[in-house]
Amino acid sequence: MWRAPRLGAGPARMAVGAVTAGILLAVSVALPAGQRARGRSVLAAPAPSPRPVLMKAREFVFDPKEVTVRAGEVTFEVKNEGSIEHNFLIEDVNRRTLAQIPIIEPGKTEDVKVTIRPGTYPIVCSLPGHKEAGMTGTLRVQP
Amino acid sequence: MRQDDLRDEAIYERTRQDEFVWRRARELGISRRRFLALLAAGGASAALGGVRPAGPASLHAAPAAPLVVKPVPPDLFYNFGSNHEMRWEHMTGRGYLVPNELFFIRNHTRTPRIDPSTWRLRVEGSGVRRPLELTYDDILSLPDVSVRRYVECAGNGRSFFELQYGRRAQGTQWRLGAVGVAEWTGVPLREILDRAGLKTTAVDVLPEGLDDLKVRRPMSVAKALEPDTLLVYAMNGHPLPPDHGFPARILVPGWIGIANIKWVGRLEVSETPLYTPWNTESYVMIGPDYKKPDGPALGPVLSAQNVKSAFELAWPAEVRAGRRVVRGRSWGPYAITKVEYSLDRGITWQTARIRDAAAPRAWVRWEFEWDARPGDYSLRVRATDAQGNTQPAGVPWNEQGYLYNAVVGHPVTVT
Repeated sequence: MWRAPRLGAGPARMAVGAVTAGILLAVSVALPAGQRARGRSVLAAPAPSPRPVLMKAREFVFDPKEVTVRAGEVTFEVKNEGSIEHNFLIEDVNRRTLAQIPIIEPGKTEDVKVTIRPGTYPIVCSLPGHKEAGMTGTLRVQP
Repeated sequence: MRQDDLRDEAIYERTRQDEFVWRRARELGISRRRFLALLAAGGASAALGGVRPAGPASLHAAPAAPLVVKPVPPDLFYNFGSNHEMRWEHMTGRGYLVPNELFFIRNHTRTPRIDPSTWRLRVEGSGVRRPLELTYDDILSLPDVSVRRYVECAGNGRSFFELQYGRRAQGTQWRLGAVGVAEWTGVPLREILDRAGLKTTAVDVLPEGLDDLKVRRPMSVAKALEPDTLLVYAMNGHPLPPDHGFPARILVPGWIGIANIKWVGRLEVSETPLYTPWNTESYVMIGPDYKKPDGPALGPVLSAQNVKSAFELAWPAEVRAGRRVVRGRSWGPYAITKVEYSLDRGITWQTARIRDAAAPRAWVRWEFEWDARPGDYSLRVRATDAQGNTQPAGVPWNEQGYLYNAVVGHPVTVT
């Protein structure tokens, strides 16, 4: 079972709010609006379309920094919560771009669909200097 | 669970989450176990991973100061966050120079506010015999020159890749307003390098900014020694505005915008070639028509700009029918010698009148008369420079969207 992250003192009160809001967000990801409204039918749906993976981009991080998905077709929905532009690239070990959102303006959400094999892939913001400032992530794809 | 335990934040958080899970499961008419299984499937674990408390970096990232200092009203600029594109229609009726309040801004992050009384320029590295530290007053007392040169973002015109290829290139989706000509006043870099005892074995000079990302991109010593490569402290007769690099920036005429480092605090002079992410990861050409060179860069490294043109018109433009003069500007690293325009989508071309003496690393103003009849038009213009370079019909794709200088159709409706 997923456990709450252990929170220290200090800025924890702000963090608690973020965690609670995040859970609400996470659950709405797990159960898209149409399915929620149908109650039990959510379980009867034979082949629910894959749910998008929500990510946030801001100066200069991706949140979450690590993502685990099942192999196959995955949609990434990336919201720019920063005040400057960002983008979103999934690369392979040879630095080839497998999927990308070339630009996300501040406040905007953009998505990209990718069919991906098992493995570990770097996620980067390719705008000049952003990767070096820490704007990277890891995508783990399980069989 | 005793209420007292909820004073502990970790317990409070866990308790509320458990309550939430029970409530959502009940609303859906499923068991708690089933609800958690559903959560665990297909990406939800990833989403939950995203709710970790924000780290110190992101807490500090909360906007405190505005991204830029000067006013950037939407009627003068397209707003891209830290980047602001000049609206070309405002160059109508202006003189040769772009006034400071209309000059485009290309910032990696926010404009830093620097106190000139504590600012220092350090000149150091293996390529100099006498490392220097200069104050703002030192800089002001050195020999100065003033030059009229253009500065242009390497990605100016990037949005037109989408028009040509149906997909966006990475980066700010500029049209053609990420360019400007100003009169720049400053100290030739040669003066500073000479005072630092530039070695004959030095090969690269790396200016480094004092902004959040310490933006830095090297140039060759040969380029640094050109008479118009400057340490600039004034723009159009005013102290350099904060958004444009106060107290001092580098001017590297003809080279791409990123070479013109703002808020410069250090010059590294080196006997060995220098690499930064700004000449290995970014500002390189990546695409099927570009071969990766040997060395650390992901693709051929950009340095020189190319020939481009723009109309002094809104995008899209709407004009009244009748005879009128259409104006615009063309620029490039070499002097612009010919400007042609087409009113029929590139089938026939006429020569426009060039109004300024041709000069390298600057622009020329041009104009032509048009008896505009009602209808929708796609006006085109193409310039040619003294080397015979002409704006092409299309350019090869590159992922980061640099150097788009193809002829662009400017949409104009005549009513």
